[in-house]
Amino acid sequence: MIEILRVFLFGFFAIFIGLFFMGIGRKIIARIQLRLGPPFYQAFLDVGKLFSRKSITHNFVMDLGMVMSLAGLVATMLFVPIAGHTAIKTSSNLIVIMYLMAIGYLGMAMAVAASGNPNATIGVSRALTMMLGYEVPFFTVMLGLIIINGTSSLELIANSQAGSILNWNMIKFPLGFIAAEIALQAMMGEKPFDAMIAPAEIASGPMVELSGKYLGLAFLTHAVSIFVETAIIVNLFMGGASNIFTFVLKQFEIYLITVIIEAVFPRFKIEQAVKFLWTVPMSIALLQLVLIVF
Amino acid sequence: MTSRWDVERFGIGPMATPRQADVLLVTGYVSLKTLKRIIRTYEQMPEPKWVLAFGSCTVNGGIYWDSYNTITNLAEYIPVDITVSGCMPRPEAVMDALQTLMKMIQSGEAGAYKKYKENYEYYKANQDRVLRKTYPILGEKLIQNEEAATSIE
Amino acid sequence: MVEIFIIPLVTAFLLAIFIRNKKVVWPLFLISNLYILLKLWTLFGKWEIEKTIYTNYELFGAKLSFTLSNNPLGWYFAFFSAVITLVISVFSLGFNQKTKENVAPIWMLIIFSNLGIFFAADWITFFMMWELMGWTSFFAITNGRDKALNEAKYYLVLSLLGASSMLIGIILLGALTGSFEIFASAYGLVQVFYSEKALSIAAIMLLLFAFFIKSAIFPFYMWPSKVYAVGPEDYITFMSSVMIKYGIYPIAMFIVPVVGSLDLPKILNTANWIQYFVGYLGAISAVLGTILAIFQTDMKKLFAYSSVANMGYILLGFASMNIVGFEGALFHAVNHMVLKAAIFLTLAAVIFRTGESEMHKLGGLVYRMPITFLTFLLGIIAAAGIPPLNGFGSKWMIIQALMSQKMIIFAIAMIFASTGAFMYLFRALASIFLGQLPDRFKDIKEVPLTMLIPMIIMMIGMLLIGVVPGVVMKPLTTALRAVGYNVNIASWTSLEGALKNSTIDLTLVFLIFLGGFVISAIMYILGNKSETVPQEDNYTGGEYPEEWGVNADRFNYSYSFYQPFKEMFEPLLEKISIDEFFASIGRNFEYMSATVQGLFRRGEGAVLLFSIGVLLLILGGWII
Repeated sequence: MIEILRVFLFGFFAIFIGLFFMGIGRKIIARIQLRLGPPFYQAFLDVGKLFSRKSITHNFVMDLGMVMSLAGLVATMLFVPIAGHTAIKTSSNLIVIMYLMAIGYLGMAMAVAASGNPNATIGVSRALTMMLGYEVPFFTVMLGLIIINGTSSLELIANSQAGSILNWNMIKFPLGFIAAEIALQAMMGEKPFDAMIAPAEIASGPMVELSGKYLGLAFLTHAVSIFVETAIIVNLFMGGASNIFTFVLKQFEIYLITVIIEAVFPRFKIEQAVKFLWTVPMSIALLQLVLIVF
Repeated sequence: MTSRWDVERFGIGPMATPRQADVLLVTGYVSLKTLKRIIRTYEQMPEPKWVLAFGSCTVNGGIYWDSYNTITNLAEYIPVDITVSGCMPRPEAVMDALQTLMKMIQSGEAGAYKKYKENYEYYKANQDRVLRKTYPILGEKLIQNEEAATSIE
Repeated sequence: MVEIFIIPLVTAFLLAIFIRNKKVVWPLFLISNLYILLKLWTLFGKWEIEKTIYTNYELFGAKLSFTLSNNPLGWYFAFFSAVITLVISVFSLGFNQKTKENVAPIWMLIIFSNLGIFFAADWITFFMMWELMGWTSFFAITNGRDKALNEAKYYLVLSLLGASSMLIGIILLGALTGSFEIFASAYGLVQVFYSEKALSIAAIMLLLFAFFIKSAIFPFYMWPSKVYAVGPEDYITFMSSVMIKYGIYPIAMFIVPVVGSLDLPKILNTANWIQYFVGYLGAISAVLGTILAIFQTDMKKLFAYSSVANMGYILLGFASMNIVGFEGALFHAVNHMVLKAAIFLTLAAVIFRTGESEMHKLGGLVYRMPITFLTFLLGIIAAAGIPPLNGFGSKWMIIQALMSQKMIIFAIAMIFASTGAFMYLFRALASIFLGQLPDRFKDIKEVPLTMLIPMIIMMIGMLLIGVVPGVVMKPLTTALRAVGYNVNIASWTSLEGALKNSTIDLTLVFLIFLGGFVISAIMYILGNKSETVPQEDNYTGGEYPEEWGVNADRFNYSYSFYQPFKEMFEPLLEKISIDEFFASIGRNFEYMSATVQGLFRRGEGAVLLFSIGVLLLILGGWII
């Protein structure tokens, strides 16, 4: 019983923090562009509005897919240790986390492709191409950390950096951190790696047919994915945290970097993005890996 | 709406598709060609939805009032919730209109989309009066030719 | 023990007699498969059963004999392939209502050789069964279709190449070790390896060559795409799920123990060169198979290349020479059997209803064939290796093993391949089942019940193995213990990794996913209600597609699905086209054989050839 409560608590916590980050992110982008920007709680208002609106669905696959997408991300989130806590006692295996995340994306891709809009399918094809682009360098960085720690448990990797700030992998393996940051930018689908959304080109790609609560679910999925991805980076490179407050603060620092890059960059074409990800972050990551292993 | 005017501070932002939109801004004169697209876009928006007609042209045709292919009053074809007069209206006027629309929504005044459903016959008749069915550009003939070509291969 | 060999032979004979009568043939086929499965079920644990036929011939001081024994590892493969075969044969009942040809008798012979390969205890029996399988599958592929002949020939030539290489390998092995029994020769090879290094390595390589051909490993990755595209769909299901494992079984049985017990110098402190050799071939197969699968337009070809990539994973598992990797590879062999069978059954169902295998000509079938869609969906989730289904556990074990052995290149190749798998798998899902339904498919129906039941069974199977991996891992670990590996019997729910603190509980993963699903569903229900609009009602920039003459068929984005990606890889792939390489070999062979033919036509040539042959024979004898 207590487990079920914990699952709900962690799930809604992640949704809350993710939406909160999104709101603050929009504010920061506005300030960088010398605007006032929306209030920081705008993301909550948006989601509330979207869920209260009527929406359009094309068929049952769309419903199933959207529910699956949020389910996959929430399930992933339950595996990520937050300041040493996980919803349910597991070994918080990194590979499991990476693969569970994929079911969310698969659900989303399925839902939008089921809408039958070619724009959506083009967006998905780009998103999957991009996924191949960023997973390879990101995994290469992870591989280095896994080999040096001899474990693929995220919790143990976080614990191994306990103590002073000098123990953080961010300081010990700066090259790996840079490569992971670039990959993270693509993972979150922020500029310059947002070819799959590209509102002016393919009418916001995967989201083109999503309305009302479907768009709301997509928002929540994005919120949870922000939470999960920043949490992975915090655990891998910033040594986790002793309490939840510090943890969220560290997550926010990571998100801040992403948002600042997002605010000032234009967009890569998809093949440029993949080529970039396979050359620059990949070679940095490989260099780091070689330094670790030999 | 550039960063100088920053409508985002009111929580307003542009959306790329009608599925995600609440408000349809019809900016400027409406030719018959545009009207067709406006109607389709409007009908694809999920409810509740509102229309903001922008500039004199949408109210009475503006300087195009006697043009052969421009409609003079948008409200005859789709229900308009709020109009902004002027040619061109200042950005402040548009922001003001959007905020007025918000107030109207809160007080329950703005519900023109219901009118569209109730008086669909009327709007449809008006639309059909001006719009003509066009011949498919990639017509049947072309499709058949292509199929013949592929079968030869 | 002997019954499971006699029954298929008798059935094959009966099937050949009743070949015209479909009402008899396929039920008989089904019953025979059911019998084999039940018989295999009873054989579990009785590893001492053995049947030998002695002959009076002698070679290299060893008496030739034909031995069949209930070998644990062979049982593991035979049992699961029997399960899959049974499910496919239920499917065939419905599928073959329409087809004119009848592949059943030949298929039964293949099932016979299938069992023979898995239960052979000596190389002679193994080779005989292998040859039988190669020839019969050639006839099963062609199956009276003219267009299939060219592709089947390609397959046959490769099979023959593999078989002859294997024959030489076996003879070499016999000469080296003085025994044709598989276990004894493995033991003997390890003994003589250091004194007869070159010959031992040659024997290993020759055998590997044959196994790689059968499992479509890198230089021979072309045949599945050619053969699957033309063969009868239900038989192709069997081929892609069971037959492609024939190369995997002997590698697990013979090569891995031999290489594992050798003490070769290690490169960079991680592994010896044979491991690297096998691993690189596996990595190249995985990566190349993935990239090629991304570019296919024919769905059967797409999944053929996906099989190549999966064989690459299995080989990587072997290359790690780690017990977790080894278990993972064998586990993946069964997982791949299950998921590939599920996927190919759905493809067969789609082809059964539409007669179309080009993906861009299909679309929107989910509205007409929901169960088929669901099977396919679960199949691709499994093939992509996403947790609540099977396919994840085994991939995870292989990656764990590679990471623990610090084989970084292989681990990266594996991740590349399995992320690339999302690309081609999703492409197939979107193009076949999602999107707009073309007008010509408006009135198709879901497949009949006899074809639905196998699909539902496969769905349950994938979910069951994914959630309770012990279903496969328990028999596997029991078999491995019986062979002599020092492994713990796996638990029902968890998998052991090779790294520190890396036990994962797949049942828990499933439950957590369910938890996530509940949260998500709550959010969904909380939202305002939605209305269903027709499939054609899409945002198109305000245009009416029908006014442009755009029908449902043209409204799908499915032809060049990954065009930008393809453009990135095209220059690279043009350079390394193995197909062109084989074609040039083929041309050279033709030229050579024409020359030889010419020699025969003129009388003196025959004499010349004969004398060359005699000379070679004498020289050969002298060397030996």
